[in-house]
Amino acid sequence: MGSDNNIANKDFVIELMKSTQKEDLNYIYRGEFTQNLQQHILSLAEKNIDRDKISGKIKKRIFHIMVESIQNISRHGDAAEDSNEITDSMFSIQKENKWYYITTGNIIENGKVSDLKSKLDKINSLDSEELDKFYREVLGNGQLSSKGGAGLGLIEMVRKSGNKLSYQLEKVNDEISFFYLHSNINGTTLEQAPEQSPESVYSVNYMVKLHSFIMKNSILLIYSAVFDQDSLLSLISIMKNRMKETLNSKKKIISIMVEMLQNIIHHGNVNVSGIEGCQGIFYISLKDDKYCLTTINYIKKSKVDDLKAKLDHINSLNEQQREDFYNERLFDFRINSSKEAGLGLIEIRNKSRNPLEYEFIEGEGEYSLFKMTSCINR
Amino acid sequence: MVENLNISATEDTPEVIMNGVKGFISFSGTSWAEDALSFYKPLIQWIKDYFENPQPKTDIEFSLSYFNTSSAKQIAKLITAINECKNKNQIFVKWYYEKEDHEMLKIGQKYSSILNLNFQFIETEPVVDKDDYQEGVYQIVK
Repeated sequence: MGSDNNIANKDFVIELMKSTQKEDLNYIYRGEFTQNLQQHILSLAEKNIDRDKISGKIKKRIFHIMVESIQNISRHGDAAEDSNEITDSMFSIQKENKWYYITTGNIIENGKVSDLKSKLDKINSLDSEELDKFYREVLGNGQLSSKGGAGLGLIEMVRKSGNKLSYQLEKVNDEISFFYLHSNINGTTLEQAPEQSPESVYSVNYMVKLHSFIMKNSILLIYSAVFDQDSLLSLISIMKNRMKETLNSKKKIISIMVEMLQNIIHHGNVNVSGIEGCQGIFYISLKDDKYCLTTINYIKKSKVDDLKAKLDHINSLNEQQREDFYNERLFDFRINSSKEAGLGLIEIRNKSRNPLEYEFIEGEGEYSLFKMTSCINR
Repeated sequence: MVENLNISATEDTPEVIMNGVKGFISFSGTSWAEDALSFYKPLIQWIKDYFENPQPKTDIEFSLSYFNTSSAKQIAKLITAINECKNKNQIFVKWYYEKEDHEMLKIGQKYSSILNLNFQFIETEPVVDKDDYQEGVYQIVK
């Protein structure tokens, strides 16, 4: 990742995939933050960090910063009653080269902007001793509003990360602005971050651009990481909470999601550049009353033709033919798992009631990228 | 007589009750296991063993709210094993599906149409778990 230029769609996918090659994480959630959601969003991030080979002490610090960040959204986010594109808050964690970047975004009333700015600037101006002193002061003088507005959370984020907070404010209209808060922590040492170059890391500038990209594409969630059953279950819990649909249409979408994610788990373990596990990307968007689920994973170039033939065959069948194909495969016990049978793909096709959209993106070496999208009308 | 087999539900595997004394078998919950083959293998073996010497009447209940295609395949195998037993007219299968969950009804019908068993389809009220968004209950935490 890391280019500061405009993010084009195809490049975006390739950039995301490159990031998984380096065993990195790119996880962005956009939407409401109910208590349940906060819990599941954090749990997915925690599962990822737990896998990393870094000290438990730093893991705790990262987790602490995530909790403060997410609470900051619910505490200070002036959430409108009706959620829409602009007012949706955002939480994101990225990892690159042992650096962890945690970014949140939420709307804020313009009237509160200058107060927030001076608070952040003050915290950023203090060295660690001054910060401790300030922390005790704020804690002691009882200026805590019901929203915890004294800035304790912000001070904590600086103390735990050892690094200053970055922030950016983008005016939305005369009433509200969008507030981005960004912290970073090194996974290997508690030393201070070097001066950030906006081109090489997930800077706050980059996050502003990424946020505008995901808004433009109505993306609700991006998860680019190593996939396993555990992360699948967290992703499902998040989406179950996130989607405001009838139980049955939600069930349909969740079932499709399970098949698509298990596809990555079953086929994505290709060990590209020596990383174990199933690397992939999942993202989901809601646009024009249509949910679109996309997965991207590596595939051996030698298997591309077979998979392409299978997908084209499924897309060419009418409803009755798909039904027959499914039944035949379901009861053919010479094919022992659903993996070889292609049941998952037929299921996705049937439940979505739309053809499977797919694309192979030629990669270097033995592997290509397989991108599949399934769209479901609301 | 086969030993009773009870398995508690997890986030991705169903609750299983296999009672050889009562002639009662039930599956309920979610079946999203990544490795459905390993999960269902001992259950299919239990069915085969039980039907060597079954109770005069056997009730089997499926009350699943979700299953993935890997599980669908194993359930097909399990039902096929039941289908191969003697005294099939003394086996009663109840297939529960949540109201308006046509997909779950459809797959039950698929199993029953291919097999020669007493299938009864029963509609239930949908199960709402804590992760399901509900109108009115849903609030932004401030």
